[in-house]
Amino acid sequence: MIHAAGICKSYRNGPVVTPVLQGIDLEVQTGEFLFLLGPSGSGKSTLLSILGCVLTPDAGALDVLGYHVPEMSAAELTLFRRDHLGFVFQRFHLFRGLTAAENARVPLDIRGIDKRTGIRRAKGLLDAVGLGDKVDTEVGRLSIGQRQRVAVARALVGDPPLVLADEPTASLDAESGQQTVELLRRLAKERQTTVIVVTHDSRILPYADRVLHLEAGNLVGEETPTTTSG
Amino acid sequence: MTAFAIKTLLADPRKLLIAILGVAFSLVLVNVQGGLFIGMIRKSTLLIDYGGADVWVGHRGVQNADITADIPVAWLHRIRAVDGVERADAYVVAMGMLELRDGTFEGVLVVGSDPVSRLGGAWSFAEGNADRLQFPDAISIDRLDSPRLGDPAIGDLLEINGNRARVMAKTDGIVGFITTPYVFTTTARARQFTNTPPRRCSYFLAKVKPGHPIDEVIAQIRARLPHADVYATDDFSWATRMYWIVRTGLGVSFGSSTFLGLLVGLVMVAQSLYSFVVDHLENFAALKAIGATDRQIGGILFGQGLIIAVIGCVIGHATSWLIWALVSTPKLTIAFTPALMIAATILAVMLCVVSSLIPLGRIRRVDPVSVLQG
Repeated sequence: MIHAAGICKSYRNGPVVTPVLQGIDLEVQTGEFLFLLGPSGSGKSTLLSILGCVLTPDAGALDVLGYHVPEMSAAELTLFRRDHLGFVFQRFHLFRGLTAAENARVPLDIRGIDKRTGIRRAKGLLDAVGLGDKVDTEVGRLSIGQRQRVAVARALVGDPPLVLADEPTASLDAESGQQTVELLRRLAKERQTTVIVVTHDSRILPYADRVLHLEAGNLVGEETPTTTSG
Repeated sequence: MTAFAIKTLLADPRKLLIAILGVAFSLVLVNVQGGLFIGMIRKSTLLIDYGGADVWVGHRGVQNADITADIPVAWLHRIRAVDGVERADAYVVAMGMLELRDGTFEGVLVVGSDPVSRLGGAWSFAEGNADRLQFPDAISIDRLDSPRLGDPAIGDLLEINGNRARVMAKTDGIVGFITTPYVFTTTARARQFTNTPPRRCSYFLAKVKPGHPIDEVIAQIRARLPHADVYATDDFSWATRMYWIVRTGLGVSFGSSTFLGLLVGLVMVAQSLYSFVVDHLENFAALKAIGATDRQIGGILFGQGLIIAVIGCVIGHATSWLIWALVSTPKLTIAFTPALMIAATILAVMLCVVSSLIPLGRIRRVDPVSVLQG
């Protein structure tokens, strides 16, 4: 699914160059539910951005779904994300004025899939996340937890083989956070979707198949849920 | 993505309202300024446009129907001898001084036409009719100019350059560009009122026989009268309008104020769309992250610009119509023509399209990575 070797990334601010990732090697298997855990500034969001093909590494090899990402142009990366990836953002980034169903089918609209199919698939996903009765509700009228579930539905609606979630529980209370991750895991496992989650939230770690620890731009440890949840 | 464009736009009604008002404001300005301009400039050619002649012959260098120089009546025979000329008559347009009953006076433009053919004669009578101009000393004035001329009633006597003039008819809305009241009468009486010599006139107006090409008739007249200017009616109308537009700076004046109005509208629409984009920049970044191309996002903005244009145009045209209904009079004419409406609509749509492209540059610079890195 994902093969990364020697991934490096630095940020330049005038003459100051700050290394963020320092040679990350990573293998992710199809259907895996993987967490990236680490303190602020450890490089986990940067790594997620690189794996999500919105940021290109300075050095290293990266294959995602068999594509050699560093060799792809910006336009090719955009289409790649559209066709193969799903995203759950920390602040949801749902569109005001649109209903839950309309928000959920945005990735299908972008792909040019017809409206009827889009609505059917969006409603199916919203049913699956427990919002079957909210499909026609404008997202501004939903609770925070419900909004994040709409965001999960949006990430999965195009049946992407890979979903990337950036702090999906950060805006939620503990209970909603756990429900959201549980839901994401269940739906991903049903679809054999690979999910990579960046999080600070240790309470959701038991849901991971594997947890990778980052510190100062390096992978410093790898754990399984049994060890992390204990 | 059309529904997306519409609904996300409607989700921010305040900015939508500002943008719509911007378009409507621009449209009203174009309509009113353009309508005033057209209405005003049309007045400069009333005599030509409503005169009923096909050909106008005047002094060499004549540029304007209201400002004339005398030509010899003897030339008239050369015109009448041209094959294809059905009829040609002398026509007098000259300044006169009308003495009011209270002893004051008012400058008038005396228009004398042939009483039989009535080429170049008065039309649109409110009181009386053209036949009554054949009465002794008869003149026709416009009811809108009547107060300036002491509000004479039908049958009242006035004096023009010391000559008796009896008001026998009144027209409705024949008010010229230079605001000097028109006084219609016969050719002979017009000469008398304006001290024009008997063998002189201002123009010859000709009617071309059906089936004869006007251009050929004009070419023949030009050949016979090399010292005169010969125009088809439309050409003389155009020349007169251009004279006023260029000589008075009317075009520059109206054009610049219309341009400024468009600029204000453009800024309002662009500012609204731009601030809409800036307020939702992270959402656009999210769209880019999930695979929307710049072209698709441009399409969304374009669609939103069009929606604003359509709503703004409807409101703008309705407001313009209301202004026209309340304000436009024969003296202050707003010519709200279909061509003007179409032109204003095209300008408004272009304005919105341009405005929608301005924030696109900002979106293109947004890195989708921003939504994944807080």
